[in-house]
Order: sequence, then C-alpha cells, then structure tokens
Amino acid sequence: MLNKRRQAIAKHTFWLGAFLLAVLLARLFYLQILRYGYYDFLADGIRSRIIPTIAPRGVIYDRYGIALAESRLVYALDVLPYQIKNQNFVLSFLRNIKIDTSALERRLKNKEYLPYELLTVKRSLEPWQIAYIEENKQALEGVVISTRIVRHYPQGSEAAHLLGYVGQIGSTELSKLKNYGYQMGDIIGLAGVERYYDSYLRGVDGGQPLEVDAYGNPVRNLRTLEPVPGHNIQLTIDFALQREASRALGDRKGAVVIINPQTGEVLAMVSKPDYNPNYFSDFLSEQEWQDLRAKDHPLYNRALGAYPPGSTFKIVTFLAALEDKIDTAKTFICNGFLVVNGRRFACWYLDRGGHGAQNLLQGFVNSCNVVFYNLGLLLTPQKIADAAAAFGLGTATNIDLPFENNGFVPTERWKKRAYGQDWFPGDSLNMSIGQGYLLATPLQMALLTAAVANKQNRLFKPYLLHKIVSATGQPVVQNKPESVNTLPFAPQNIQLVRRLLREVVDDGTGLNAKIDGLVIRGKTGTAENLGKDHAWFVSYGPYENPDLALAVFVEEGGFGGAVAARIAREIYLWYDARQRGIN
Amino acid sequence: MDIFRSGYSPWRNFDWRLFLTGLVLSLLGLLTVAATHNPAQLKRQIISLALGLILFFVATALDFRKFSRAAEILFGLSVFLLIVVLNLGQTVYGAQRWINLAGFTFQPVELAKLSLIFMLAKFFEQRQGKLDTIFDILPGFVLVGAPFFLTYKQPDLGSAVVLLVIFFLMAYWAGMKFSRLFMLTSPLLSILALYTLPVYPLLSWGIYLALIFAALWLLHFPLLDSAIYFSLNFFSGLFSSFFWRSLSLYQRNRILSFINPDIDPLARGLRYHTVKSVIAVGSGGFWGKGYLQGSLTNLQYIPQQHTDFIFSVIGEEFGFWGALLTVFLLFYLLSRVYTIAAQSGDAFGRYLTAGILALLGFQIIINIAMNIGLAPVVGLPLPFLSYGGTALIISWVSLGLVQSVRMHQRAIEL
Repeated sequence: MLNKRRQAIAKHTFWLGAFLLAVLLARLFYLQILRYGYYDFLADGIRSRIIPTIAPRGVIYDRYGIALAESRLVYALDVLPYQIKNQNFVLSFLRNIKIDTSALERRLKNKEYLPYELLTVKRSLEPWQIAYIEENKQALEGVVISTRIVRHYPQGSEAAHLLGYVGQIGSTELSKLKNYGYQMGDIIGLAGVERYYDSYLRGVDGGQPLEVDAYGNPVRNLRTLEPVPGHNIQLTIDFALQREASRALGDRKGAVVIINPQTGEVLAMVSKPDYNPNYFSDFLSEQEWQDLRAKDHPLYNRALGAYPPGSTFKIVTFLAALEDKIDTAKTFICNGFLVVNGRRFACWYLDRGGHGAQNLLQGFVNSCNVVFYNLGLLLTPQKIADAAAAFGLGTATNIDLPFENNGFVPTERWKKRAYGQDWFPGDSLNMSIGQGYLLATPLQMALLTAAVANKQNRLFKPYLLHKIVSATGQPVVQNKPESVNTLPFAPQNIQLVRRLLREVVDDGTGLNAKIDGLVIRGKTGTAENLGKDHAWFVSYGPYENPDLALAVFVEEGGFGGAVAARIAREIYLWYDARQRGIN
Repeated sequence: MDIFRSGYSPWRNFDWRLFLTGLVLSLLGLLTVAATHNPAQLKRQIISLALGLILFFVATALDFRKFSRAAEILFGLSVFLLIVVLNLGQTVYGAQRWINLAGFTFQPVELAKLSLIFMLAKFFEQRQGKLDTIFDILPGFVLVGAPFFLTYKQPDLGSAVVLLVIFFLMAYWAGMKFSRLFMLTSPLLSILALYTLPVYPLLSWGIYLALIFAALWLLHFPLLDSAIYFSLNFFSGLFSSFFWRSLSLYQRNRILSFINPDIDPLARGLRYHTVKSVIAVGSGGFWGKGYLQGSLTNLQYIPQQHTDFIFSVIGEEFGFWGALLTVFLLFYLLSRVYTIAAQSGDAFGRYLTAGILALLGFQIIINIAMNIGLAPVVGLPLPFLSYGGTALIISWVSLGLVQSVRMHQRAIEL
C-alpha cells in the first residue's frame, strides 16, 4: 500500500518533468528552426548601427550677407552611467567646473536611462572645461567628450522670432514627417524661418554603418556615406534696419514690421519681448527656463498675432466711403460722442469737448470717431468688409513663416451664424473705427500701408526669402515679388488718402512722426483693450517715392500718436541718415 | 583506502552515468564560459570545478546519514550567514548576495539550499508520512520560512522560490496529499486572483474564495485547518498590496513586463535581457554560428551572459542540436537523480534525493525557460554550466550526496 503510493508519487514527478522537458524542446524548436530567419534578421539589426554624420545646417544671411544663424562645431559632454565608478566624485567634479548636473543627478538617481545609453549633460563645453576634464580623465570613467554640431545665432536675440530656433524633433512632427527622411532624434527647425525652410536648411545626414558592441564601441566599419550640407538661405531682412527697429521699440511689448512697399519684401520684423535662440542649442538652465516662461510670452511672435487695429483701420472705412460716393464735403458735428439706439459711443476727443464741425477730410486727419460712426451708419457693413478684404485683412498673408494668425473681418452672416444675432448699428460703429470683432496682425497692417504706398496700388504677398544657394554655391531658389491683388479703388480716391496721410503727420494726430525735409505719411491708432489701450502707427516714407512701409504696434502702449509715432520717427531718421551715408 | 579492495565495496554501486553526465556538463560549462571572453573567470571556474569534484568524492565516500548530524549546524550557519550577508554583503546588481571571505566570495544561499534539504529530510523522516493537518507540517514550514524570508529580503526572489519548490516536492514525496499542498500555496493564488485577472478584481477574488471554501468542505479538511487556510487566503488577499510594495522596483517591473510585454514594447529597459537572449538563441538556427562565432555573444550584447544567460551562448553558437544535446544531458542527469530517489529504500535518503532533484530540476528548468523567453528573469544560474563557484561546488556536492544515497543505502527496495 505504502509502496504503491510511493510509486505513484514518483510517477507524478516523472511526468511533470517529462512535460516540462517537452515544453522547453518545443520552444527551442520554434525559436531555432521555425523562426530562425526572423531572429537571424533581428540579430543583424542589433549588431550594425548607423552612426550618423550629421549634415551641417545651412547658414541664414540677411540681404547684405550678415550671418544670422550658423552651424558651429562644439565639444559636448556625455556620460555613460554604466561605466561610472565613483558617482559622487564625477558629479562634484562636474559641478566644480560649473556644469549644471541637476538633471543628470535626477536621471542617475531614478535610473531614468536605457542600458548603455549615452546621457548628454552639456552640448557646448568651454575650452577650460575641456582642459579640466582631459587632465582628470583617469578618475572620470564614464565621462565622454565628443564633437557635436550645434546651431548658433551670432546676433543673439535680434531677429529671434523671424529666425526661430531648432530642437529635437517631437513625436507629432515625426509622425507627419517620417516619410520625408526625418528620424527620431533629428534636430529640426521648430519655429520661424528655421522651421519653414527646414527641408532646405537641414541637408542630408551621412552615416557610417558600423558593427558596434553593446557599449556602442565601433568594432568594424562597413562603409561611409558623406553628409550633404544644408543649403544656405539669404533673407530679404535688412539686419541693420532690423536692429534699429528693435532698438526703437526698446523694452516695450509689441511689434514692428517693415516692408518694401514696391515688392512686399519684409525688411524687418521685430517682436518684443524676445528671447535668445541660443538657449535652445544647449540644455536650458533653470534661469533660462524662467526667462522663457515669463508671463509676457517672449516666444510668441507678436508681428503675426491678431489685435484690434483701431483707428488705423479708418483708411479702409474712408476708402469704402469714397467708393460709395459719399461727399467728402459732408459735415458732421462732433460733441465728443454719438448716441445710437440709446447707447453712447465716445470720440477720443471727448475730454476736450469734441472736434466740433468736421467734414470727411478733417475727420480723417483728426481721426474723429463721430465722423466715422456716421460713415459706419451710412455704409452697409458688407461694403466695409469688402474694402477690408481688398487689403487682405481676415485672410492669411501666406508669408513664409509658420503659425500666422489670419486676423478677422466680421460680416452680418458670420454674426448670425456665430451668435444667432442680427447685426446691430453699434456693430457698424465699432467696425468703422477698427474695434469690435475686427482683428488684424501688424504684418497685415504693414501690407495694407504698403498697398497704399506703391504707385501701382498693389497688395503684395510678403516674403522673407531672397534666395537659396547650395553649400557649393549653386542657386537653388530665387524668390521674386508676387502681387496678390490690385486695390479695386478709384486711383483718385487712393491719391486723396495719400494726401490726407501726409496731413495726419504734418498737422494731425501723427505729428510726433514728423521729420523736416522727409516725407512721412501715416495714420495713428489707439485700440481699446480690456487693459490699457494698444498703440498703433502705420506709415510709409521717408521720401516721396517710399522705401519703407511700416506698422508699429505697442501692446498696451496707450495713445498711438504718442509712443508708436515716435518709434516710427526714429526708424525713418536712422534710415535717412544711412541712405545719405552719415552712419 | 580499503573500500576499493573489499569485495563488498559500496563503490560497486557507484553510478557512472550520473558522474559522467555531470562531468560532461561541467566541461561544456567551461567551454561556454570561455566563449564569453573572460580568462580570469575561466580560471576561477576551473578551480571551483576541481574543488567541487574533490567534495563530490568526499560526499560519495561518506555515508550520507553521517551528514545528517551536521545538518543542524550547517543550517544554523547558513541562516546566520544569510543574516550577515543581508547586513554586510557585497551589493551586486542591486542585491546583496555575496559574502567575502579572505578574497573568496561566497553565496550563503547556496549553502542554505543544501542544508535546508537535510533539515527537511530529517523532519519528514520523523513524521513517517503523517502529514494530514496543518500542525503536522508547521515545523517544516518554519524551517523553510527562515531562509526564505532572508533570501527574499536580499532581494533574490529566484533563490527564495527554489527553497519553496524544494519544500513542496519533498513534502509531496514524504506523503503529503496534493490537496494539502495546494492549500498551502493557495494564499499566493489568492493574490493572483485579485490582481492578474483582467476584470472586476473584487468579484474574481470573491469567486476564488468561494471555490476555496467549497474545496475545503468537499475534501474533508479538519475544521481548524479549514479555518486557518481560509483566513490565510482572505488575509493574504487583503494585505497583498502591502506585499507588492515590499518588492523592489526592478522586481515589480520584471514581473509586470513578463505578465504584460506591452508595458515595454521596445524592450529597452525591462525586457532587455530576455529579448536579446531570445534573439541570440533564435539566430543560432539548427547548426549554430560555430564555437566562438556567436556574434551577439562576441559583442557582449547580453548582460550577465556568463552566469544567468549561459544557455543563450550555447543556443547561439551550437544551434538547435547543441541546445538539444545540453537539455538532454541535463534531463538525463535529472532522470538519474530521480531514479535513485525512487529506488531508495531509505526514507531519509529518498527525501534527501528528492530535495536535490527539486533543487537541480527547478533551477535547470527556470533558467532555460528564462533564456528562451518562457519565464521572467529571476537570476537563477544553470547548474554545472553557469559561471559561479559556490553554485558549481554545491551542485557537485549534491551529486555526491545522491551517489552516497545510492551506494550507502541499507537495501534497495523495488
């Protein structure tokens, strides 16, 4: 009995072992016989790895050949966690040579790395730091110095918004671009020209397919593919003018856009507050993060942001009125406000008792709201909207920059759809003075001004690209002006606007922009805002045949005729001095 | 010695098949350790093998029953060393497993495995097959519990599980009913029922508890036993989240990534070992890439390849036939141990051999399984083949004990 039980126990053990043996053999048969081809393929993939030779990114120049963005060879500091013998020593050594190790410490502590991963600690080392590391190389096992190409912006924060910056490709970009040769870990343009022309600037990475061991050490070099450097880009930007515009705007929040009214070339595009794009070429320090996350959104390009255009829009309303054959001699009385349907609509001259009797022409020069309220009531909203659309407001300018705001021009149909409400007379009043639902970007306002300025009355498509040249000097792309639209207004009406724009500067609200001996034409604007008013000044000059059309926008800058007009004046003065060879 | 001259020498019963299989496997182990390109380790492994062989013959020559007197001392010593290693041992790969004696590192857990087998064999011999209530088995459970807890704390989950497997197989061979054994493991199943079933954890746990209740009722467990088993199930489920948190992060990750590979689809962190090892074995094909020609082995792609992942070297360099041969040799060795256990007329010898069968068998199966992606990476060496002095010596001592059981038993009972 006992013996039988003992035999049964032994038998159970035997069959359990036999079963497990069968499982192991079946798995071996599956792996080594049935799936041999698959695993053989995988084994090859593990062994050989393409060590990319990064193609140097193309240089970006201004129109006169000043370098705005270039690629630089730097020495980077990497760490191989597995090889570090004395972690505390390595960390304190790096701290002693002024290298920020906080991120590295965190990753080492929490083991946030893959086996055999190289952790980059700093992308550009100073020569003295390299010297210290090399001298103590014996004690710094696991610390590696390697060369790297990084993007460098020699002009610092000047032109930061239009140039943009580079960084590692994100997962959303990668999923969109992977069919175009982009790979994980690629450095791509993330904003501005760097982003828009990334495919030209980046070149084609070369590579050395290597057989490497688990530590990434090359074992055998299979063959080499030379990298193709990226193309160089020449912009229409006049860097000296850009710098002057930036200086004139100073520390104020806002934007200055300067356009060649004869072509649509963007000569300068300033947005403040700005940032230093070089920050992105290395790991951001705590202080740099704080700078970038400041509450005024320094990364945001205000030149492409939408704001109420205020009285600068009166150019549009006025032209619509002229086209509607409203008599320019028609006179309105400004008591400082107009009451419509029981609501009081103020003129900015209310404090001083109103403008008194004003005809259309006086109303334009003095920027009298009451005159334009009346025009708003006389015109249908569609007529104002059509005139705005003729200047390209409400639609993208299709400038060669990413993330452009379209601005907005309201219509009766839109209001019905969006709010389920009819268009009220008050809406017309607001629209006639560039308030209410109306939104425009500083770039759009500069283009509007340029269209008035040029003799052909052309609305141009704005552009930043002058030409693209390959690294060996072969022309790749030559850009040329492109007219979007010819203003559908009678030439004498535009001529009248030009005359009045001159009067605004010589004898009206734009007096602060007046320069003796120069011809400046412009229109001020003070856009009501929830906070302090936005200041606008759109203008062109400084000669009878204008070289520059510019829009100055100062966020919460107050009265447009004061701050914005003075900024424009400084720019014109500087420009004229340069033209006459004084600078 | 006169035993060679005596006509009734126990050496006539020396199992050459057992000895030679072990020897061939050890030599294959040396050959494979050599393939991982570390001459210093190869030298140490040869010294360990020599020492192991000497101890094998010592163990063979002596009557295994004589060891049983030393079992208490060895067991006490190994538990003491486990406490020492937990506090003073060298930390390697995040676990404290080694103890350093005059430049000679040593893993106390290997000694604990063997001395536990002795202690349990003695215990089960005393019980004479009477293992019906939970109180009959309790002293044995205490014996396995102490080293289990200390090993688990190192943390060395693999070795801790080996101790449990030894206990269960020996208890089964000592006559404990399967239903009782099942009830002993049921608290663990209670945790699994609560955490691994994909839907309604509380509902599935409730159903599980109901099934346990029904089983206790239908299998006529004593009332007190039933109450204890049921409350063990209940409270282990209740406190399982505490247990789960007591595992270290890397243990949790390994278990989770084994249960659900999607956690780490690129196999960059958690399943790195397993995936690389499977690729190495799979890419060996039928004939293998040839000795010293294994590309992944030569490029040192698989960490700890000379210890826990030695089988992947065999799979890559010798291919399917080499792996097949190795598995057959290992299982042939197990079958010899099994046969000696089954044929032993001496209860103590039988339990001892069964314990060694569990020790070698479980490590062999789990190690190969983890090399070919069938088991989570738990850090168990492959007996006779993996680099590691203590394990190799203990393996040979175990074989010596098995030989001793065969040669020095009082009668062969068939």
